[in-house]
Amino acid sequence: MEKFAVFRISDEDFGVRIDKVVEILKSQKIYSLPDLPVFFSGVINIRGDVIPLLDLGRRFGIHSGSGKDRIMIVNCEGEKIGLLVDEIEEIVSLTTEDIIAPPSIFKGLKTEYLTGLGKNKDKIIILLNLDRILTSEEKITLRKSAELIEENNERTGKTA
Amino acid sequence: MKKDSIVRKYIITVSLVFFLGEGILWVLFVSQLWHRSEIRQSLAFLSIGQLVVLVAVLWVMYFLFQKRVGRPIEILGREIKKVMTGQMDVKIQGFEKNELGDIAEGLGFFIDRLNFTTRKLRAISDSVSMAMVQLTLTFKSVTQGMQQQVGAIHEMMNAIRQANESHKNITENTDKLISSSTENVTSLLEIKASAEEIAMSTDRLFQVTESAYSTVAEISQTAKTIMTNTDETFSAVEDTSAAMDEMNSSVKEVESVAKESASLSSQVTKVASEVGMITIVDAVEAMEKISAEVQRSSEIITQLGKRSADIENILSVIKDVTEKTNLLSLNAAILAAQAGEYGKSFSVVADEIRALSDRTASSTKNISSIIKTIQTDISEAIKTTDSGMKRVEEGNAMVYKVGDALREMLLVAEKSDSTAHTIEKATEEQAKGLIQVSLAMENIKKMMHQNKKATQEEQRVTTLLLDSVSTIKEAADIAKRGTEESAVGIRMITKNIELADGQIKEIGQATANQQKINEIIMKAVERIDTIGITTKRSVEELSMSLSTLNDEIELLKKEIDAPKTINRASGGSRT
Repeated sequence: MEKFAVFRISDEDFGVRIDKVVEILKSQKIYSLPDLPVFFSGVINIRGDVIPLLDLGRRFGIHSGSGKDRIMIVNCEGEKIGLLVDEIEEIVSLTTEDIIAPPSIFKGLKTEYLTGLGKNKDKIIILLNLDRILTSEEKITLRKSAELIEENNERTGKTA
Repeated sequence: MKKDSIVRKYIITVSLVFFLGEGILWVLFVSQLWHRSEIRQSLAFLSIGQLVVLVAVLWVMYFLFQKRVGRPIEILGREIKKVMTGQMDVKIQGFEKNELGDIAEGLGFFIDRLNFTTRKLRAISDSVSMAMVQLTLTFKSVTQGMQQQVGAIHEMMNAIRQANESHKNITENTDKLISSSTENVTSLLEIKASAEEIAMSTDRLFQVTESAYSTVAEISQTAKTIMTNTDETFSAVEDTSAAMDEMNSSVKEVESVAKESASLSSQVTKVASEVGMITIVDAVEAMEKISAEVQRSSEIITQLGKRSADIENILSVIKDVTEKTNLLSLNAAILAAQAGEYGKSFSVVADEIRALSDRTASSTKNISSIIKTIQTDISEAIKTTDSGMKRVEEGNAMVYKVGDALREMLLVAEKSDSTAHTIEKATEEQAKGLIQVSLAMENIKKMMHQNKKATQEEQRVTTLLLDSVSTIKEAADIAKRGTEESAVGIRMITKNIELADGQIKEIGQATANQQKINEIIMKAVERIDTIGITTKRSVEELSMSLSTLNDEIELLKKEIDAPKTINRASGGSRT
């Protein structure tokens, strides 16, 4: 029995293990960075922590019409990453019986991102493996940029 | 032979006595013998024959007596009568030698002697008388001559006096004549001037006549046109008459319609004044109320709109709060889940809070949508109230207009009521008038007939007039010429009169000279007159003595003529 935080991007429901979730925020001011990959919208400042913001819809190739106004802060290999989603739906408890293995080909998503599909009532929740959501290259660029930002912050803090 | 002769009287008496005696005898005789009828016829025959013989004998006796005695006596009587009347040349002859013959002879002798003596006396007196007569005649002629002379002298004197007087008169008259002649001359000059004026007037008359001629010609033309016009008018009058009939019928229709309209308009007046005005007043009040209500509702609705906006504001706050609550509950649920067994109760609370926030969110959504619909409804309501307001205002205006219209209508209806009444009366009068008019039209028709005739006559008269005017024109022409000639004549006369004036003046001088001569003559004649008077006196004395002589001769002549006159006077009474 595991608990999942369910969120929605466009018409699709996604689920993340609750122990990975740090907090849920309203939409924040997004600072865009020049050298970031395309699926990164920018960075946000949460109580002094600069957290990169990942546009999951863009990452999964889902064109969402409605405005994304919720940010879910999650732990990804010891790093905090903000996921830009449309809406946080609910907290659901799924048994192992409710979770099934993902099919080999599924909506053009790389199966390595998926842990499985959870059945909740008449809906299907795509359960994400957050540790595999970013490639190593992506992680390096993320770190670099994080360092740059931190440096900038330090500079700005010194000057301030 | 008017007087009955003695002889005839004697004979008639004798025969009457005889017949009477005879008749008596016969009556006696017949009365005794009448009853014997056989003798009756022979008796009658005998008596008639006896009568006839008797009458014949009597007639023979009468004729014999007449020849022997009656005739000679008659002749004697006739001759004596002749002598009595003065005819002395009587010859008594042819008598038989008996008593009557002797008487006749004696009478003849006596007459002859008387004749002889008378003739002698008359011859003597005649010769004396003749001489006397001659003397008288001579003297008379002398006296007459004397008297004539004196008378002639007197007459001459008188004549001279009269001549003198008349000469004076002549002188005076001549003076007057001279003055009047000068007056004449001046008046002639005036006459001349007036003659010239007359000439001018004649000229004008001529012109006027010419214009009159043209005018009459025009009149003639006009008369012709009048004739045609009269014909047209006549037809028009007939048309009018027909139209009058139609009009009469239509006027009757109008009369009935006017009556109906009068009653209708009075009804309209009633309805308009009683019902209409009350209704209009009510409507105005109602409309005002509606207007007020609509305004109030409009205000309320605008207030409602404001309130709904407030609600919206509050709702947005609620929404914000709900969102935050939702986030909080989610975070709480996450935290509770991460807390594991310890956070189980807390997660329940978090779930409850999340459910509440969800419900709140959904209800706020519903409220929001409801409020949105309310707001749209309100805006629509505001629009509709605005339009309603406008409508109400329009309606109000309409009602006022209707009221005004009704008032006007009332006035008009009253007017039309009175008008309809007047029309009714007027149509009645008109109908009467139309009857009169149609009568008049008939009269006009008749008159037009007469007029037509008159126009025809007029035309004829105008042509006659034209003729006569043309003759007048000719006459005026002649008159013009005549006046011109007379003007010339007057000029001549004036000259002559001027000459005569001069002559008259000369005459005046001559008469004055003659008067002096006359006075000398007069004195001479007066002297002759005194001589004549003395001569006359001596002649008168001579005349007196002559007349006494004449008287004596006359006496003598009477004495001579006396027997003759006595003879005449006594001769009538003696026979």
